[in-house]
Amino acid sequence: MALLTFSKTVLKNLFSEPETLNYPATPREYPERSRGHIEIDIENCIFCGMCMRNCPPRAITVDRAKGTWTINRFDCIQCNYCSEVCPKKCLHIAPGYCEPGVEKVDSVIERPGGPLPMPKPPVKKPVPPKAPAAEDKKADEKAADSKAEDTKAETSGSTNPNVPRNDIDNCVFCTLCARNCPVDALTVNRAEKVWEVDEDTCVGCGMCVSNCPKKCLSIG
Amino acid sequence: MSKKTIIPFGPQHPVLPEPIHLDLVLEDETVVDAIPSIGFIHRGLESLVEKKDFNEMVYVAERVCGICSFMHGMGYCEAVEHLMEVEIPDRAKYLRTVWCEFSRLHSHLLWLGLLADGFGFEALFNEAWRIREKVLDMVELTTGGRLISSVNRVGGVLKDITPDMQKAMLDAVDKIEKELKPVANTFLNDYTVKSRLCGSGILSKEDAIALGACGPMMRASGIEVDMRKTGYAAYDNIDFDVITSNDCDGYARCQVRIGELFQSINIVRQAFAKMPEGEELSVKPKGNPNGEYLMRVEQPRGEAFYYVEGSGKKILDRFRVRTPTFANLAPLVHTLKGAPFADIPLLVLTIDPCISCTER
Amino acid sequence: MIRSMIIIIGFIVLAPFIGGLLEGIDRKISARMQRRVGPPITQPFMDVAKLFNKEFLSVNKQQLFLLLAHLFFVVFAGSMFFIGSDLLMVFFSLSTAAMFMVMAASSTHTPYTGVGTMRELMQMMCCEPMELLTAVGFYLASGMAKTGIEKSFLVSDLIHSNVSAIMYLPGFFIGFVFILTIKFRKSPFDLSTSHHAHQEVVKGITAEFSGGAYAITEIAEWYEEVMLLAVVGLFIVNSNPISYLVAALVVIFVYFLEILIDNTSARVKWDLMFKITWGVIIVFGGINLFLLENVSSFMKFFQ
Repeated sequence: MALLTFSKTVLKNLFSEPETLNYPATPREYPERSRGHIEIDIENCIFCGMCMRNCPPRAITVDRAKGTWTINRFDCIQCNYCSEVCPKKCLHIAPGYCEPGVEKVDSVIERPGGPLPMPKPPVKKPVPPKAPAAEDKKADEKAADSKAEDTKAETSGSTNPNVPRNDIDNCVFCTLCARNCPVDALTVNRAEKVWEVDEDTCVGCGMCVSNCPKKCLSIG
Repeated sequence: MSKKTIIPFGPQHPVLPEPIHLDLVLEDETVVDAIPSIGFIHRGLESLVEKKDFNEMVYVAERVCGICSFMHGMGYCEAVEHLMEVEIPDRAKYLRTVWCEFSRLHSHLLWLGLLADGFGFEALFNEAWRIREKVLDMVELTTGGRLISSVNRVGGVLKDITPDMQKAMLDAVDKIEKELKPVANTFLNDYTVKSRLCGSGILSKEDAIALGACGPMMRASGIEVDMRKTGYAAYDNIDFDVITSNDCDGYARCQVRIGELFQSINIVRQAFAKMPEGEELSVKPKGNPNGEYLMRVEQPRGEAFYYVEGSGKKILDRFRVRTPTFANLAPLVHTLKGAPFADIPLLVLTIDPCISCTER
Repeated sequence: MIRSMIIIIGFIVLAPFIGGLLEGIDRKISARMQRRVGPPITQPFMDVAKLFNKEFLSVNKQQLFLLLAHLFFVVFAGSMFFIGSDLLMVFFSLSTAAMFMVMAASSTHTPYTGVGTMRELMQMMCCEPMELLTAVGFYLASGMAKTGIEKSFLVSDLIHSNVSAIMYLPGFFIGFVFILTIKFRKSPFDLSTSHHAHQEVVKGITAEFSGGAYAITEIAEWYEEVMLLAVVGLFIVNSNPISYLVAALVVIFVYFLEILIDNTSARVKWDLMFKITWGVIIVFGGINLFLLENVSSFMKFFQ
């Protein structure tokens, strides 16, 4: 029969320093990797919206027109997925939790110097009048063109998985992708049925893919 | 006296860590019947799989429950990895093993604390949780979160354990082992503690099988079953024995879990010794998941399984978790019948209930 | 008479402060035993002040009256003790107080208090015999000591004995200290209600007391604590003034021992509590009583 087995530990504890902190009066020190809150280098942000679309609790709102990046810190679950997917790596997580509050508030971060310049509006070239003869004439050229584009797109896709690929047969050249591209890496010419991507400028954010009405673009 | 009283036990009750409701039919202080009802914290996390792509779903899966978080994330990832036929780097496997065992350590210490609290032993409760804090500090140091680690991804892990961290973890493990000894001694040998644990909540070997118990509950009834032996993560290269006990009572369950604490410490040491060097922590899966897979993982509370089904899209069709607590509810109700009222908290705790997991 | 009045007023005013302070110290020491920082020593007073600000809510308004009666009898018992009155009466009014507590709790008819009340009665069954035995012990011991006074139950006579009562009553002392664990509601015998709500019966017998009603039980507990510790002191006190100092040290030691036991044991079930306490009472109290009786008859025989 072992009575008061624990007394040795208890008495030892009585004469030791307490392990608890008088929190929050005594602040806690967090380790370097501690996931407390998301910080953004707004200067580098290209407002592509990847974080917004991949945030599991949908706590982030990116407004390209206003140049604001908004996070609801009360909704954020500190999973760090936004910084994983950020093409510009301008998001990172830092120690220090969100202060408690009585209501959920958004914290809005504005881009200094206003919003990013909007991409150029699509060049509204007058649609060539329907001239069946002319079209017939150019038919061969166009076919050759589009084929060349197609192969180009395919090869670009195979070498670099982070650049969008276009299934040119389904493309209607609506230019939505180009208009939504945050870095203007896409060139679309409806008249000449040209779809080009500048691999060096492209950040692989996937904006074009998500905006494509025909779902002919793919990435990854 | 044969007057029956019905005591509503829960969903909000100080001894219950999580909401479960039991209607206890008492005759004097003896429970003659117990009717459980669950469903107080259902959050519909499984159906979120229809909205999130399979990479994003990792973060949802690991938030099924705070205590079992790492293993939920890992179970989901392993299932999807099998589905997509991804072979993850060796180092990642060992890192997962280390984190798994750290979650087992903190979960079992949490349980010990709650059990001590259940029988009114506050100092023991605080001591167990104080030791647990050391485990959590190490988890926070390496993953960035105390409970929810967010280091798993489909194809490997996101963060490495640097040599400095490895040293800190091994030091912590030594210290934990030293401090755990008096705690384990009190749980297993103290007169008042034994008077509470011995002979309470008998679940015979036959009943355990018939009612489909799992985890420490099963092992305490003398059945050798441990999903770690199926060899997920790096467990196929780790040398360990399944801890069992033949007493079938609350004391046996305590004994099994304390044994597993020391075993986990050994596994952590083994995993660090065998861990290969390497920069590569994850591989990027190609394409989208297609087909179905069923993954079984040994959670601290027992066997959990993860079912995933994909049809070649970015978004999975189905994700299903069956958690150990769900399996252990039937044995719990079985042990409650005929138990004295004073034993109810102990019996509810001996299955190590994790209601959040159960209801998802 | 005036002296008695002053003592009574002094007791009524000072005892809650001493009791509350003791509880504060208890909480601090317990916290440090568990490696916690712990609450400030004045925390019990702040708790009670807060309770008085809360709404009194009960299904039966009678509860408040019964609780006030409980408080009254505890204060009454304490006052009787300190003015040097009959020890037997002191313990009887303490039992009456406990009965009022039981009635207050059972007036609400809820399952949790129901179980708590049953357990409280069980606890009373365990500690009342020892309380009465203690009174009897003091009576017998007073006759043993060569004081020139007759055997007496009066506290005022007992403190003028020339030998400390503990010399004749070591077994009674052990038994009384043992049941203090029940009286102070500490592990391993905090069955009916505990200082922590982490129990199957939640707060047991006090579960249905809210706001001011609960504050009254807390205050009554402080009075009771002071009184019971004074009984522990009575074991030591004799006509020598130094014995008061020794008594204070013994009381502090006993209180520390209670805290230690509280922190090193699990809550046992009622049947085990019954066996243990009766075992201790019969072994220590019984043997002591037996020896005391025989020794005194031997002495009488020789006289």
